[in-house]
Amino acid sequence: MGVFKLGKMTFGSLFKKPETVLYPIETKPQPAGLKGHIAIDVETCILCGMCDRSCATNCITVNKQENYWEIDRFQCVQCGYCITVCPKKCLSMDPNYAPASTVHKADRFDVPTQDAAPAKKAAEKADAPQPAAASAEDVEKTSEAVDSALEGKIALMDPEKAEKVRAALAARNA
Amino acid sequence: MKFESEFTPIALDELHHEAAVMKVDGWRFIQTHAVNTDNGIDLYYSFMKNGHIKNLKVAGVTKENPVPSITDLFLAAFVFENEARELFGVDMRDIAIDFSGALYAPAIDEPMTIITPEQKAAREKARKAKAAKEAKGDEASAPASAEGAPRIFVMTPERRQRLDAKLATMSPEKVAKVEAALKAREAEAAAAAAGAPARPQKPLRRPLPTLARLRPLLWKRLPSKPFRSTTTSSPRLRSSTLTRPRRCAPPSPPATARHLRQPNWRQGRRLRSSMPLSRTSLH
Amino acid sequence: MGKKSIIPFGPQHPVLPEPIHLDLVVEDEVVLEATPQIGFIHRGLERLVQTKDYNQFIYVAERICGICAFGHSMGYAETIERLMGVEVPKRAEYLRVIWHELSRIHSHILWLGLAADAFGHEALFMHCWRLRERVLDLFEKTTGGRVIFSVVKVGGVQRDIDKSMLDEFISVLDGIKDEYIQICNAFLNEPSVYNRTAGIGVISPEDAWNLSMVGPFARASAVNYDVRMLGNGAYGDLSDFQPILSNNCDCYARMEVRAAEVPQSIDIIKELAARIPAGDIAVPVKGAPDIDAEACNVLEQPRGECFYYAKGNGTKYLDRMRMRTPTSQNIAGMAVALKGCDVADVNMIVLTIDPCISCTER
Repeated sequence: MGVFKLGKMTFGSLFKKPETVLYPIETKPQPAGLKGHIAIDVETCILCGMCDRSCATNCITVNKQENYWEIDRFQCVQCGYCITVCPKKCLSMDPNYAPASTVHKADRFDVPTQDAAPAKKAAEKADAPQPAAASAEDVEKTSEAVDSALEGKIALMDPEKAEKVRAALAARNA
Repeated sequence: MKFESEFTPIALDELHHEAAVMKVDGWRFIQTHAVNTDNGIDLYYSFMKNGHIKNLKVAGVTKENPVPSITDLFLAAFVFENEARELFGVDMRDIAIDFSGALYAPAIDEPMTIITPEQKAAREKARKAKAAKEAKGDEASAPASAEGAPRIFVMTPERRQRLDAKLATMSPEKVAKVEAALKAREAEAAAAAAGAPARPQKPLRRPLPTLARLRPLLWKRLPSKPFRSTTTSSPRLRSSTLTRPRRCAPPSPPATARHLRQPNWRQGRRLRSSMPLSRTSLH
Repeated sequence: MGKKSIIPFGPQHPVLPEPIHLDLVVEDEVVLEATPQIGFIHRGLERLVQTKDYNQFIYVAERICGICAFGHSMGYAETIERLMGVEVPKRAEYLRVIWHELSRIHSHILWLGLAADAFGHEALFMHCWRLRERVLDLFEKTTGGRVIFSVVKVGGVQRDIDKSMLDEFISVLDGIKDEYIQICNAFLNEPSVYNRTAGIGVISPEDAWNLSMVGPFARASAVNYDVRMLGNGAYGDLSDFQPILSNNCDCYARMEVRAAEVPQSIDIIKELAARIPAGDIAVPVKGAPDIDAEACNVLEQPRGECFYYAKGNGTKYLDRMRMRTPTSQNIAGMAVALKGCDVADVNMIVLTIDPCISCTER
């Protein structure tokens, strides 16, 4: 039976750096991939709402009418699922933890309206007349062929649903 | 994916007999669980032997069918049988340690049998879609209920026709992309079929290394005999049953908990009790 | 014949690590029988499959338990992959096993600290958890989280570990190993520890088999079963894996088995890190499980064998997800081990079982 079995470790601790840091004067360096909080790049967001539908804790609210994207930091568990489903890759994980708060509030970000995007598309169309003509033909072809394909599906649906789909198609073609 | 598993349906009256056969054959009990279906509750009893899992499935158990407990054969099943009774409403009889509804004491009875209306609608829709697909006479890919089998996409004439109809409406670049993707998939399937060799099956190892072999590697000196001296007068050492390890007697299940009722603070939470409550008795 | 009394133990007790309630029928300091009771943390997580689709549910599965978090996410992902017939790339399998073995190391070091604390060795408890911090730092650097990682998805893993990081893993683990062996030496070679745990809570090998015990609890009673032997995933590529067994069947043997599993896990990580293949870390998974498709899976978590079952119903929500955790299997064994011991030994026996009650009642 020895004495001071942990003596080496204990004696060494007298001279080594302590394991803890003097928080809040010093902070521990954060690794790059740390799951801190979700950040959004509002310029790229198209308010599609995929993140709202896929959030595992229902903490994201996307309001297309009023153009904002809101996240409840208290509900968010930093799982990162919204980041993987975002089609525009505008969400990212920031390594800083969300700061503590005494009031339960959600972070709201105003998303600039997407008028710029249709303007860009129109400019492209004007620049390239040939693809524009092709796309017009495509649109005609599409509606006819798609209609015929849809008829097959409509035949299988419930009668009420079939009525609704036919009405929608008629409205679109009109 | 090294172990195999199978799901074997059995009838409710065969259950206890089958479990006894499994025990005699040396199968190890894994677990019991219940699944809520439209035709009642399906009970699954899982056993394992030599890396092979066998699930016995008793389908369509309703409240009118009492289920015999297998805790007389496998005591470890008592937790799962109590759980099945509380969360699914299965009428389990003769559980060795019976909590009488006090295991989880959920606020709603049989919570796992409740399905939200949206879920019901989604399931109906999926079922109709599958029925429609089967009615079309589609040659489906390899049945997805086969476990571990990767989905192989088979291009049938009907599918090719439908695909051609769709492609006719698309732009040429998109057509080119789709054709390229199809070719790539066919090449992959051909390569997979041609011969990725399966990983060689390793036989199960059955040695019995005891800790004695590892001890010298791990720590420097270990007691080779008990440290306590034989002349100590601790009352524990005088008791003969505790100085030698317990031998071969089969485990006797502890007495049922029926005489131990919930303390009074908990009775208020229970909305319904199926058995009359009595006070804790000390005897 | 003395008077019998019933002592309620738990769910709140300074030495009890988990909220389990035991009614101990005691006569003159000897426990005649112990009736376990659980149900204090039942959150109904299995019911959440109805509101979370099969991709979101992995984040729920992780949060069943803080110690076995990675095991649950990995086991769930493997079950859904079996259900849908998805083949995961080799590199993803290796990464999952490396993280899982690291999770086992952290769990066993945590457990050793708790055992020491229950004995009263608070300094040892602090040292163990200090070592555990180094493991948590490794997790933080590679997955972004210390306890809940969210790095596994159905079809693979979400993050990669590059070569320099793997080398750092190995150097940190080697650093831990020396100190860890010193700590084990200090703890397990101690006569007071030996006196309090040797010969206590004995479960014979036949009883262990009949009670279907799993994990180090069973392996200390010479039950030769470890799911890693079956060679699932990257475990099949290990050159030599033998479970650590003991024939002594008492509390001390359980402590030894658990303590010896940590160097074994360090060796597994080193071997896999040296042989990890290059490649993708995930495959895209589209669609939903078929109607009435069923799959089951087993995984060796730090506490034992964990069984998963999944059933699909054609929608993106699963019909049923079942996770049977090792402690729910071991409760019967615990009730039998507690028979005949002293009241003072109850907490040691409960600790050497290494219960994880939040896993047991999801």
